[in-house]
Amino acid sequence: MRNGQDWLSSRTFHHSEFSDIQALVERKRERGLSISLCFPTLNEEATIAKEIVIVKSELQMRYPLVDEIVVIDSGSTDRTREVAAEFGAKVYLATDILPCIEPYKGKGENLWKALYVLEGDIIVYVDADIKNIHPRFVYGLVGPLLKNDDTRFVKAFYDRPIALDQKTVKPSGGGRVTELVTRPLFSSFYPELAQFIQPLSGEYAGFRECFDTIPFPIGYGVETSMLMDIYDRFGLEAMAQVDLDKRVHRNQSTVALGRMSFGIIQTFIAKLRASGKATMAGELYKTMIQFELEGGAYRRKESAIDIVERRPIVELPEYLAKFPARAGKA
Amino acid sequence: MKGILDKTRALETSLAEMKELLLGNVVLLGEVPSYAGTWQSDDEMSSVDYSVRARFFADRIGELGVDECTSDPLGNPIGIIKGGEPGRPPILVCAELDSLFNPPGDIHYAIDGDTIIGPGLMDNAIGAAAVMSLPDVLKREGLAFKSTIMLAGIANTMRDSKNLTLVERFLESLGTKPGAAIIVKGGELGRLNYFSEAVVRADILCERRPGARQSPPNMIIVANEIIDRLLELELPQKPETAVTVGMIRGGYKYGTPATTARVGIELRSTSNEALAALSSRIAGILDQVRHERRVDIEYDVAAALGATSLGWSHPLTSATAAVIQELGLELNVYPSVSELYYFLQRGIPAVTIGVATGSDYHQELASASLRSLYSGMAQLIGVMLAADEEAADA
Repeated sequence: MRNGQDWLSSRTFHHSEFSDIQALVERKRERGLSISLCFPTLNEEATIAKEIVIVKSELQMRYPLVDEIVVIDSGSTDRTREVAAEFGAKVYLATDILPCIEPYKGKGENLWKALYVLEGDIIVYVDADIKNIHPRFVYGLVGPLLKNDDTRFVKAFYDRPIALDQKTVKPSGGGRVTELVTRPLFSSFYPELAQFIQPLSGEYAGFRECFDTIPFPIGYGVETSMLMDIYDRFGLEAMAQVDLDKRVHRNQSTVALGRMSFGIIQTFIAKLRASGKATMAGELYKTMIQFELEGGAYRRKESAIDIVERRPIVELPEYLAKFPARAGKA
Repeated sequence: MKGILDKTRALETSLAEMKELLLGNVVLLGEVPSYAGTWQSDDEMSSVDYSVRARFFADRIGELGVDECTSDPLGNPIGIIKGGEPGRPPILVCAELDSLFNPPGDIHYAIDGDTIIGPGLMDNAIGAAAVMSLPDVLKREGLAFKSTIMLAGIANTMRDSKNLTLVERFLESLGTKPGAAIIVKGGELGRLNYFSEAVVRADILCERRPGARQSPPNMIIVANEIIDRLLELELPQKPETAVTVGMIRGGYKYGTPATTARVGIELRSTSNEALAALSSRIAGILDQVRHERRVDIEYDVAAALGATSLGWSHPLTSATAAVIQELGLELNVYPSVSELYYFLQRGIPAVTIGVATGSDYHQELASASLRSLYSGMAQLIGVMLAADEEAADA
């Protein structure tokens, strides 16, 4: 592994290294940069208000680090959009962005469409289901980007507790899909990327070119795909990871994680084939088969998970019309 | 005073525009555990009380712009906003940092529309956060004071059941006697305490006497006998006097008679003399049970407060009442059974107010209305302005 250990030690940070927020604000000003924060949402009324409040209070009103807070919603049926707007976020329904193109539903779709509405040079994506939101989730991610000129993309990692129920929190044990699916795949085909402690974490930040020049799977595989594309395009030295300590979030069932793993494997294999690292005699099946025990009998449950990928948004004429400086960067 | 009342009303609107700052402080402080303890050195030669919430409070008020931040010998953080006339006695604004209800595990607050939810919120995270927000809010509003303002968070007040004794020690340690003090509680908004009832909080500990023959085997039964006798006491309606049995603990196994039992009681009266008489009757009951049942009974007083009053006509009282009413809030006057007594006893004009409307104070899902906090903060600043202008001159 080329420079593997060096990368791990030199590109792995702790959020506390960037807790001087005023210094980050000054650095942002010196470099003439702007920062956009995006929360992709789907029915997050329980947590979105607190996330916006903490970021707005600490990183906008007290320290002008974040220039805009944007919520891109997949069509929540609860009060997510209303609550977010009430606390001052710019709120978009994903289907209202670029309405001329066929819409899809999924987190990757939101992240991709966000690029069209976000104005910042640096883009920070943070999941909206974090119960213990703290300013470190943002300044920890933008810190390495602002302080190190050669860092273009930063990924978060955590000691991830999972809430077993309202009373019991297991101190670690999250990241099951990481350890059982993603890391073995990376170890086999992209060993350098296996050094990301939490490759599937939903919090990351990067310069606009990291995101607008890569394709986005609309569904589960977006984080895996993003790492592979940024690595291929910018190299490991442009990437970093930051320890954000603890992240408390909803726990997902093993069945749901099974579907997630299926999507990641599908995305991964598609990218391997596209890159020429693997060839296959035929097409993959697109249906995840699981079983439920009901009334003493097993019932087959099928989930069709089709991997649709958005092409790099920088190739879209509407995007270039809005960001003409990005022309020719594909 | 009219100018202050007008300003207070206007503040309510501008505080609503700072809602994220206020909420941010409530959430960040409330999610820091209020647990406090003692650090003992390895050689056991020294020990230091610590509270992580006190540390957070100190760091935060420093960051939010007080002129100086210090701590008293007990580790209670005190932020200083220097006044324009250094010769005037300071105004003390203080809040307890502890929460009576401490959930196991991490604390996570939630915001649901106008409601903030989280354990310890009303007791007293929101009150402490209101005090902690003051440097920022005063600066944004361009408000300056003639008197120096001391913003204090008092930790450890609930420790070892000895609640309030550390408030007394906090006041003892202050170098300068404040000209006025405002004690900030989470709730309820509209409350005004300017007088205190005489209160005794005590534990009655029943223990099997070692080696005693014919002593009753089960201390829960002894405790029950004491409770029965307490309930038989005839108490005067005037001066209003009451006994509450608030806590009972005893035993360790279903099938084994308890060797100890503890009963927590509170005695209250509007008269110091009536309370003294009641205490003496209770001492008699305990003596009787001790001898008749041949058991050890200890009477351990956790807190004793006296009945005292700042007076309705005191400028601080009347100014506080005026501010509360100016904001359209229902004035709720009742006696304090908490730390106010220690302030008044030392001749410090003091009132206790609440800054929010909430519910389920000591439960996991304690909640408060965000809008009520705008009024609560406006009220707090209004009372500070009044204390600065008028009350301290009394």
